[in-house]
Amino acid sequence: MNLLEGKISEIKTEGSLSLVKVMVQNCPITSIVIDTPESAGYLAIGNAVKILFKETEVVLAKAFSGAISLQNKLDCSVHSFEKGKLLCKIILNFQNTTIASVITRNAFDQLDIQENDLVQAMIKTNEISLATHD
Amino acid sequence: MIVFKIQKKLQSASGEMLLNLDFEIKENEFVTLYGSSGSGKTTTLRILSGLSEADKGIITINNETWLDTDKKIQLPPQKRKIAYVFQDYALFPNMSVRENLSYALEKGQDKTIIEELLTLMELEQLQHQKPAQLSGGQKQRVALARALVRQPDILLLDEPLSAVDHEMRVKLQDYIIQVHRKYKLTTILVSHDIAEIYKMSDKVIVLENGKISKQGTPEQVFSSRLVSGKFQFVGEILKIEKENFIYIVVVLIGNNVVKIIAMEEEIRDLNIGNKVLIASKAFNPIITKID
Amino acid sequence: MIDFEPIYLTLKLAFCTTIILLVLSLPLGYWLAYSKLKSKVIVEAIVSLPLVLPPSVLGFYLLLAFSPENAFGKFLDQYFDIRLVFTFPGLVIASVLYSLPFMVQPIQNGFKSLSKSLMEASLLLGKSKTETLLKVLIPNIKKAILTGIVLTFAHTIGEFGVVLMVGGSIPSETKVVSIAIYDEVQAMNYHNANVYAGILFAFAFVVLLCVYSINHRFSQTNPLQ
Repeated sequence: MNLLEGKISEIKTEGSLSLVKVMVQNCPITSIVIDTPESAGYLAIGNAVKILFKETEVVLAKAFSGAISLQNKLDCSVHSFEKGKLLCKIILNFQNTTIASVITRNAFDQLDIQENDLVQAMIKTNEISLATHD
Repeated sequence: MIVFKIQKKLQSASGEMLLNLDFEIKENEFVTLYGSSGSGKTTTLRILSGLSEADKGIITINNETWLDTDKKIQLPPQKRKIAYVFQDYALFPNMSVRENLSYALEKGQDKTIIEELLTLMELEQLQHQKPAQLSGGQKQRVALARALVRQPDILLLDEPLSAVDHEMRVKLQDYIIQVHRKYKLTTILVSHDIAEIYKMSDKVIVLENGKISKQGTPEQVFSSRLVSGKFQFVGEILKIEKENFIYIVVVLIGNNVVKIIAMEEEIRDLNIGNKVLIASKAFNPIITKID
Repeated sequence: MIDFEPIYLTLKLAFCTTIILLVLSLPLGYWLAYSKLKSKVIVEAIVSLPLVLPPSVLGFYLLLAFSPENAFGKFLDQYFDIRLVFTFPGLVIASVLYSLPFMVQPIQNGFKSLSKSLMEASLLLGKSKTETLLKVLIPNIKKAILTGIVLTFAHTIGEFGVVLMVGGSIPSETKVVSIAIYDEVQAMNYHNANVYAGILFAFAFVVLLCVYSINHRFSQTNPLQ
């Protein structure tokens, strides 16, 4: 599980759904949750939250151009990787921390990932969970 | 509504401990007392039922005073009309199942309640057996039925499920929930089992060294970390399989076995038998009708 | 010719002693098992005294107490016209005291062996302590009670020292079998002594045989007891 820390900077609500924008330093990450500022106290601008997402939900792109619906794009560099027959795990430097991505071996080979490569890690808005500090 | 404000000095393994509690329980609420052994859970039930005395404090039930040490009021256990299920069941060995239930009848009480409870607890077949001939789960059902004969408003359960196997436990939980709803009881359960607490309770009171350290819904008490997960379950780890750098964790949730992919860092603190919280975004699960 | 009076007297004494002790020991054993009073150790010690005291010591003190020469005996003699020395009632009282631990201890242990929650469950079902004692506790210590009855009965039959001190050897009043055997041996009537001894021996054996077989059946039908 990847974990980043940030502060809520924007909340848009419709019905019982909220789109929450969290700034992780200067990188915006959005999450959609079935909660509203009324139903959940932690949803307030300026609040510190943890961002959680599964390694298997991290999409990688290299020298990507064109339009894409994925909203969360993190600029990273490849720190290290482990190769399996089916899957590969790639550790990425992001800001002053690391995140991990698990993609298929095929995709890994196609992207021709090497250490220190610059890549973009992308996560769908609905794959991001929010947690408060203990 | 139960108002419970009590102080009592207890001798525990680690020396003297002050049980100092102040809580309220609403009518028809299902409350669990949770905490390590020796934290004062059983004593709390005993004081509420009058089996143990408190040094100081008050207990009122719907504005009726059961205990007020300042006014020297102390109702004996016989007058407190409480259903109490003991950890060791406390069935009377000299009486059959039916006799155990009949013994609990009050003078002039309508006997139809006996048939009703025997049916509800599925004990008709066993009604003429003696307790010694019953299994743990059956004894438990008899103890629960007997406690309810007098039709009390309050049900106290002192770790009643700790001595039965998992499958029986799940069944008994259902019986307890059933009577809790049917007879509109206010129920207090002592339990160590987080999955059980999630399933049954409206509210959890966590005791630590005789004091309340936390209280709230099971979600608030046990999973305050993950607030946005709407798809959450508590389960028990059955198995951890390693596939290269990925781990497959097999978890028992209720009666269902599920598998979860995890990374090495997540596995580090996990062992077989651990209770875990499984959470996912509500956006992922696929829902289909079963015919 | 054999006189059967001592045999009748022995059985009568054992029977009376056992009944009185049973009635006395149920509440006493209950109290000893459940009381939280610290002073109960004193009562426990007194109850157990006959176990260690030579029967002659107990008999001697009872003889002194019952004697019309002394305060207690005088009091009984003057106000109630009761004489306890060398009479059957005196013998019964002496036997009751002497056999007290044989009835109280099994019953007390019986109560103690019951889970505390049995009593608590009954109280929480709204029942009084008396009702709990009669309907829940006593029926579940039947084996302990039976043990107490047998021990008391057998012990009373075999008693010699106390009886000799308090009762002497008055035919039809205090001359029980054990005394009769002693008398016959003193008089060199070995044949009569032999008959008495044989009867006592056979009786003790039959009683124990019955008890063990009953006990056995108990424990088979109800493993909890």
